[in-house]
Amino acid sequence: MPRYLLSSQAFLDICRRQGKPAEKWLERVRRDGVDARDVCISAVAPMNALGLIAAMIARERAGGAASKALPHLRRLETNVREFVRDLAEDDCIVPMDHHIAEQWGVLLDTEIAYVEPDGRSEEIGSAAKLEIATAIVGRHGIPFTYVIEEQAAYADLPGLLLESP
Amino acid sequence: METLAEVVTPLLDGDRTDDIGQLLAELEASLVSLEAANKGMPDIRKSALAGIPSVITRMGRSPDENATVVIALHQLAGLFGQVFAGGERKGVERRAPDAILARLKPIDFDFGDLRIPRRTHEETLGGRTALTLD
Repeated sequence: MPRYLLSSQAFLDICRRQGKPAEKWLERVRRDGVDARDVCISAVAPMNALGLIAAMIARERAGGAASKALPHLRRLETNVREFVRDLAEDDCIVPMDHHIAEQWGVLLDTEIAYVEPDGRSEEIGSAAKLEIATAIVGRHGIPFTYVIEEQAAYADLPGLLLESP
Repeated sequence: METLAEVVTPLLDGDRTDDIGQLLAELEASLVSLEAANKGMPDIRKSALAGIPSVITRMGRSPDENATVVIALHQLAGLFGQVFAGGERKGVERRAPDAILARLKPIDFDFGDLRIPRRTHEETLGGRTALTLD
């Protein structure tokens, strides 16, 4: 049975509870017999999700007038923290070790472009590269299958197992 | 096909010795009481020390001279427990990965794309160039 590493984006999309593909994927792997403890995240995923939410809350507050988004962003933040607590209890938040760091260094020197639906492309961030390194190295010598939307640049990375939600 | 857990769990839940006997017949194993089980089986002890997987019970004598392994019921249950804990997790204690969804509150608001961005002020390409061998 494979072990999965949710990308930060898949993790956040599950926390939204809006029926996004990642949420449906989670229900699908349950039907396939996957155990909760075989679905992990990288240690940087909470930072990525909470950083985005914090930036959006700051932007809403700066807007001055009563924000419609603010209570929903707070709820999203609560969901993220709840999911993080659950994953931490199961030891499913994967920290960096020297093996992951070594792989991360290779990826830092590798150009990996994310292509937007409109065709624009942008180099992915170092935190995303750390996630990919974590998926490639895995745990106890077994790599994770990285759960992320399909991107051509990821498919070319040696040793990376991919699954699109 | 039933999983090991589906076969064993109901057997260990209640007093269904007939079913246990049937299971053990499938496994070519014999069920004996703790008192009847053997601790003086030199061949098995010797093979166990040589690395051949065996179970040596602690008390009594073997009721079957041809037995390779004699095991008491409580040890059988313990053995199954170890199997579940070690590798066969999709049995008695498997947990659904989507159980968390029940604790996450649905959000009825259109956030739009809500894509995780790159952090600003980060250096990606050439991130290790500060280290030199000069």
